[in-house]
Amino acid sequence: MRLRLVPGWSAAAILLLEFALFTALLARPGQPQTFANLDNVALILKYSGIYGIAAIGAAMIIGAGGIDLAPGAVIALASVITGHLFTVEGWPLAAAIPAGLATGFLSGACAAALVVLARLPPFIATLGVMGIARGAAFLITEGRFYDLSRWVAAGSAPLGVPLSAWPGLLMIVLAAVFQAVMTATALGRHVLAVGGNETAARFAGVRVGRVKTFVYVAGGALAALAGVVLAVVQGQGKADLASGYELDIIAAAVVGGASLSGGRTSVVGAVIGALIFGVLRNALTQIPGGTFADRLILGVAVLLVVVMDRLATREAR
Amino acid sequence: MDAPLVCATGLSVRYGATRALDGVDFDVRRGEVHAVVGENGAGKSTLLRALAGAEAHHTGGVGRAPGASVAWVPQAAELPADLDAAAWIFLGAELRGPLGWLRAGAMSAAAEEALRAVGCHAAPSARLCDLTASQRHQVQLARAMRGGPDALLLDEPTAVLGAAESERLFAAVRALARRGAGVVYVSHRLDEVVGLADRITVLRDGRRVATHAAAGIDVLDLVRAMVGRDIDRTGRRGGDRAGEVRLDLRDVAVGHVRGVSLAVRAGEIVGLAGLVGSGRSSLLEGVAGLRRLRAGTVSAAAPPVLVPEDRQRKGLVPTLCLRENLFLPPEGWRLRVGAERLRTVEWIERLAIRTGGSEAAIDSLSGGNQQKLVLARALRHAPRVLLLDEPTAGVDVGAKAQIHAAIVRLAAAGTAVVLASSELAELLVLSDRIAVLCRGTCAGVVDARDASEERLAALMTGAAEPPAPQEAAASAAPSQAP
Repeated sequence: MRLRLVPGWSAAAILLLEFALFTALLARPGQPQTFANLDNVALILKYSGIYGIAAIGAAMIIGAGGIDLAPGAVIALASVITGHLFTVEGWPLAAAIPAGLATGFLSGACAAALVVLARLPPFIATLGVMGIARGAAFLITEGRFYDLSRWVAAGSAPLGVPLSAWPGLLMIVLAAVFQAVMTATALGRHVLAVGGNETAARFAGVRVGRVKTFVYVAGGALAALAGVVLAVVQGQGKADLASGYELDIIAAAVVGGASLSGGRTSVVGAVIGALIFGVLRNALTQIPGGTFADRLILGVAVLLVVVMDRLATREAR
Repeated sequence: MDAPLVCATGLSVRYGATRALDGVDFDVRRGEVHAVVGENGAGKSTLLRALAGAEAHHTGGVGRAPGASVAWVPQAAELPADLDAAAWIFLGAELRGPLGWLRAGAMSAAAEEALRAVGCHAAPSARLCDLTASQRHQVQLARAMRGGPDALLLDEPTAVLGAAESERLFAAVRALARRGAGVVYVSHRLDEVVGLADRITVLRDGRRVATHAAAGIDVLDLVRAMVGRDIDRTGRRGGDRAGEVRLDLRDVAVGHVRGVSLAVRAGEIVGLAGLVGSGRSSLLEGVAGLRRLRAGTVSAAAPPVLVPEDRQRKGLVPTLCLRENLFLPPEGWRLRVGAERLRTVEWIERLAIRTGGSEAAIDSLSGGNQQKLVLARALRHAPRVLLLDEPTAGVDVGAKAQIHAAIVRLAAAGTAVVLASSELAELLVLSDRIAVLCRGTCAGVVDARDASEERLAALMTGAAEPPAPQEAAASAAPSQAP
């Protein structure tokens, strides 16, 4: 009997351990908790939400055997489009937001066309989309940035939810939705089949082109949503936002259980991965000199998690 | 003098749940040709791989005489397409000048000599992708034999060679043996083996069943040892089936196949014979709609369902469990895992798949059971037209019999079946008619009752005349029926 390790469980365990570790580490006797308090947790959720929303898309793309280098650029472009339409063209927010989302659908469709029709390797295709999206953002802003915060007050609560809670809330809701898609629908199984063995999936009757199109378009749309949320919550539409986020997003998905060879992934795990890095970054700001070690520790953390996961799956055989 | 060059003692090899070899003792001595025979899945290739030292997961001993060089020519290796023949022949053992530069001229000349010695007329500068499958195999042989190895391991060397090329190979093998090398020769062509070998070992289901001196041996005895029972030669199908035409191919061209016309009726099993590279898989994939047709039409009473060859590459998704592979694509847009589990258990029982359960991992299944799973996936659709590509490749004898029985049951229930196989014995036993593809065209359609392995082999290699007009008319008549 072979143990089937559910991808994502090790990530959940690591998140809990990490949180407990930093709670203990940063506790000062006689002083209130600077780390393990509600406000800080809310901050972590808000910060991680942007990565987490995009990591959902990355988890699905990697599950289908592909990769996406564009999310950071798409986040920036979506924030720029939304910001430009809202502040310069005077569109109402209710129209500017869908326009920002549309850029994500468009960039995802471009990536899908390059991968499915032109048969480019996903690395190259999304590298191209990344360059085009980032370039478009810079062209539109010409180096300026859009300030949405004058119209969207920081303390406002659209739909009754405080503004700063939107990233975390959206992340959780979307994680639930896409986890259901991946585990309880035929489409989810098709994604994993394409990632596990594309040739066999094709011979079995799976429409591989459609499956790939779905994951890339969804990935683009989710990244754009993260960009729109970033613009509205942080109040800025800038072309250099989210620079380098794509690697953290991929790392979050991998830590959450996605296998880069395709066929294994977890949407919930990817979100937990984003939270792991969010907790890490947050804790480092509270350690003197910690932010300088940020990228170093992150790199080591990714390697540790992946190696542990590999060892655990090997033992289970 | 009689010390073995390469030997195996109590060798066992397991892949997951499959026991490929079980306690096998084997050796080859200087100057002898030791043949290994057995059915598909008996463990012959695994034995060679272990003797070559390329098998990591073995228990038991594999040894070679000190300083002995061993050359291994595996069955169907993929060669780097853009390399030229001379470069491949000398890969790893390049001739170098004093400063370390490659001596291209010397290598080219030596490569040419090695190629001629095995009867290959390709130029040493020819790129491997431009050669035929037969020539590529000869390049492999040249690479192995050029260095004058002490032991040579050959795995089905004549599978892709024509008659003349095979004769040259035999001469080269005998010459090598005379010079003191030991040759291990794996083949399922028993008549070849009897003429060439000094000793013959029979493997069955991973075990060594017998080792005889080749002199004076009876082929029927070998067959009995390989199969464990007498082959019923009278149990042939054949003759005309009267059902409706379910599948009609008219002048179909797909891949490098062209001009194939064939009609298959309900309840009929049409075998598809041909050498590696003759186009059988391309044709079946075209009929199933997985490849675009270049010309011709395919009319089918119902969408043809294909059970592809090479189940590792084209059949199974290793990251999904048994049930998920069976229900791929699943029924409906919502997954009903409970219902799937129940139906999976039904299919496991129906095809006697030996497994721990519906959630088992694919690599825990033996080759035969993996093949049954791919077959079950196709049968789930209750196909009225079923295409099978090498359905018993790498499958043990027991599972093979069960798969054959399932195919016959399907035909009896009215399914039209097309069965492509490299095993002529299998085609002769199962088919009503056998269509032979040779280099992309249909060389003839033969009634199974009138066919024999020799006749089919002749058609496959292009050495024979197409069937006589009466035979062609008789086999064509059903397809011309209104």
